[in-house]
Amino acid sequence: MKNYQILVFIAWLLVFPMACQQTSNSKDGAHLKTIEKTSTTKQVNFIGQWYHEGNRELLVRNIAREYEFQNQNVKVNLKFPEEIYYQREDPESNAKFVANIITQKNPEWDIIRIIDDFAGVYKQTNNPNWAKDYLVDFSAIQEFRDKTKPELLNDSIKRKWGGIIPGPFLEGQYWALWYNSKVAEKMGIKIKNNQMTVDDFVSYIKDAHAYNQHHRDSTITPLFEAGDWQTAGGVFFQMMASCFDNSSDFLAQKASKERLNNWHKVLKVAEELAAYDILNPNYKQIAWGESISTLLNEECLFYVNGSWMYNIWLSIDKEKTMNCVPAEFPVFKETNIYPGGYQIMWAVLKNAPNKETAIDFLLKLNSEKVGQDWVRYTKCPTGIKTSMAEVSFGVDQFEDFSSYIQRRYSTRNYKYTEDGNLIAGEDNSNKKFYLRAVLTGEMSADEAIGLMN
Amino acid sequence: MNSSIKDFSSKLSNKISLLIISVETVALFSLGFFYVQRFDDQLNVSLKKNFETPAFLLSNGMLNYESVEDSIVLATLVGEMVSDCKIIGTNGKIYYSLSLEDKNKDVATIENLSNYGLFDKELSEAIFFDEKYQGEKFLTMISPLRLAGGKYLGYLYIHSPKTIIQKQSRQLTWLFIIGSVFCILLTSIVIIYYFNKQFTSKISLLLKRLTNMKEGKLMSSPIQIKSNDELGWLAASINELNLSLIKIVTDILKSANTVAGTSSSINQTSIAVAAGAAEQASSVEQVSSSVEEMNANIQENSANATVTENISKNAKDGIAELLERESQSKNLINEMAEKITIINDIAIQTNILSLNAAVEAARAGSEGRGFAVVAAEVRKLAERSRLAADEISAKAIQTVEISNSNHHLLVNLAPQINKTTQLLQEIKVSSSEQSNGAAQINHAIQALNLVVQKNAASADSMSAKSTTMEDEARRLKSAIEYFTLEN
Repeated sequence: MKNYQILVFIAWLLVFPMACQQTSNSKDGAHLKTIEKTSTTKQVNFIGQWYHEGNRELLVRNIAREYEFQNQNVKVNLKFPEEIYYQREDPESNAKFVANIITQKNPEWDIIRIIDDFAGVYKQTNNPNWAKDYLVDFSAIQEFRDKTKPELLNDSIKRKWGGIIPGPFLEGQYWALWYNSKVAEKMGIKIKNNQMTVDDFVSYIKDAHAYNQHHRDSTITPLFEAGDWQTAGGVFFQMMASCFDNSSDFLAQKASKERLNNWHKVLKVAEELAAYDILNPNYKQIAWGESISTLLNEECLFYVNGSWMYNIWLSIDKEKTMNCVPAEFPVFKETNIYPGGYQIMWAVLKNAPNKETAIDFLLKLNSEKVGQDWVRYTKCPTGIKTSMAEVSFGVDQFEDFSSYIQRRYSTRNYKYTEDGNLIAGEDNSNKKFYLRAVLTGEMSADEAIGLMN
Repeated sequence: MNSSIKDFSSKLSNKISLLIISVETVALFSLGFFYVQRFDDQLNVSLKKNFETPAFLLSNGMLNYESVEDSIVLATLVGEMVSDCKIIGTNGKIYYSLSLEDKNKDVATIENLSNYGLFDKELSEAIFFDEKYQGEKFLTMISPLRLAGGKYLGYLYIHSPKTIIQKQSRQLTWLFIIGSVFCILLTSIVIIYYFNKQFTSKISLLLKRLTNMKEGKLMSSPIQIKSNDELGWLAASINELNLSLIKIVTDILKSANTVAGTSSSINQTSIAVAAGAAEQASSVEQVSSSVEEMNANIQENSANATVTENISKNAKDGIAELLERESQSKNLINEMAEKITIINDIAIQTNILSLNAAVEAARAGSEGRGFAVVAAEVRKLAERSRLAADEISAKAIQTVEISNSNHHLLVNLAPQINKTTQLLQEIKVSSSEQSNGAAQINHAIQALNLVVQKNAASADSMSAKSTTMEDEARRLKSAIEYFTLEN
């Protein structure tokens, strides 16, 4: 090749890319057409939930904001109960509010918070049909049915609500025996996250007590309990549930000798644990809301509450939250039921000022996207039918727990409340069952059973 | 330094390597420039795509609106640390905003946004603005947001510095430069190594072999280059050439030796031939002179023969005459003999007479004595005459005999003389022929002499030439000895 040919070749190499470069251009331009501005013509008055509970509050606010954006003629007037009526020291304040508003002729609110509390309002109104009378039945709406998990659209739930389903099952949750992994490590206790037996639990409490004995300056409570919202009972209720050979007998809430015997058995355990100072002695004076960080701050080993605590703690201290591990409640023997389930948080008043918009709002809330957000935000299940709304295994201990419980118990859940019916059977809602008296050593199991009899 | 550069640049492989590396460098950098530019464009396109991603996800319900208030989510989606992002409704309300202070405001109240004049327009696609503030490049996108059903909801506004993209571009440029330099270095090393291994070392081998051949060192061992390419073929050809040269040189050397030896022999032979030729010439001269002499002799002989012939003819004639005369003589002799007979008869008669006279003189006694004496004397004379007559007769007879003999001889001699004459004629003819032959011989000898002289000259010349040839053969040998054969 002659020199000039080489030069031509090199020049081509130089020029070609530059020539090619001219071909790349960015895309710009759009067709512009002036649009008419929409003005706000409607409003939905919405009482929210999970005020100051981090992501869950954010979720509610975002749902409202998204609805507003997608419906720019609608204003969502979101207020939280804490901003309106809620008084933490009064566990019935919500039921009272609901009982009050449903009977108003011109209620101020379209969407009210019912917190899955049929009984509370029933208690306030003494009207077993209060829900059917005052609340919109979403089960009659096809879109709702389409987007709700079918297993929740059953008659038993409708029966519970007097024949209707008043709103979406956004919140799913399980009760858990939370423990602080750092505390457990400090105490040298290796806690089973799943399939914990009563003996395991007793041994953990004993170990914690032993630790406290050896560390006199230690103020670590083996099992935390608050005075205004007592939740530690959940562990013992599940112990009792596991005493039944047939879990449906437990759920049937029929008073029986066996039932009392089973409770006696549980109280015997409580009695044994009382010797190890299981509860914080002054628990009655402790406000739950003020002691939320007890587990985070490594002040107790165990803490009984729902899986939603993840969100609450996350909003307080993300790093410490990772030390909190949810464990399955201990059992005497395997059972196929577990405390937890799906809650109907909101309902639309039949005489709501913006009823249709409110229904539309809750239907939008019952969407797959919101369900997914719920799962993502709370690491808890949801009753909304979504393709991706199930918690997954292996992400962290929170999702592991929810995933495990979901797989193990499916929808065979029962609602844990400190309800005497569960212990003594139907019509014993207000019957005392002396759990904490036995746990604190105030009385023996036998004495408690004697009193119950 | 210069010489080392010169040495370096004198290597073909280095030249080729340099050419390849130069082309590679130019190609790499020009392509690099092209691709960096393309990559920049792609980055911009990609960035715009990334900018469009949130709008797409938002419009399809795959992304929460509140995500636009999460700078990490935005950064993850967009790939840049977004400085501002807003969702603005068709009513102008800012529903979501990364800048929280702008939330719920009307877009018309925010100068930066209202200046775009787009938030009362229905956009069919995203609009991008390449902006520059205080030397920093920004990309702004205003994209339409819709519901899945197509309902026009508003706008997604993203404003972001092109920090990462610029960093990526710079990184890419540097990466390309470093990569290119590394590639060039690596490929240079590989190319030079490869060329050195694959070509230079082989070419050096070939060159060395050719240099050896040029220097006359012919190696018997072939060049070991195992490559199925031009170099391999060249090596094979050089090996063949080498072998051919070895064979040729060997043959030439052998021939030169032979020629030298032969030349020497020829020279010696030539010298001998020249000497012989000289001697031959001398001999030829002698022969020539002898021949000339012989010719002269022959001519003389011829002349003599002619003379002899004449003589012979004369002798013949004389013999004939002699014969005639001899016949006459013979006749005369015969006559003489006859006469002698007469004498003899006379002598006999005289003797008878003397005897009678002596008988008378004896009778005449003493007085007849004197006669008796005369008669004795006469008888003696008669005796003597008879004796003489007898003797003459005998002599005559003898003469006749001799004459006969002579006659016979002459008769015999005559043919011989005839023959001699004839022979002499023949001799003469022969002599003439001989003379001619001698002349011819002489001529031939002269010619031979000339040839001999020529031969001598040729021998001399040949000797000289053979000397020259020997010299040439020596020179050839010397020249061919330039080639040294291994083993």
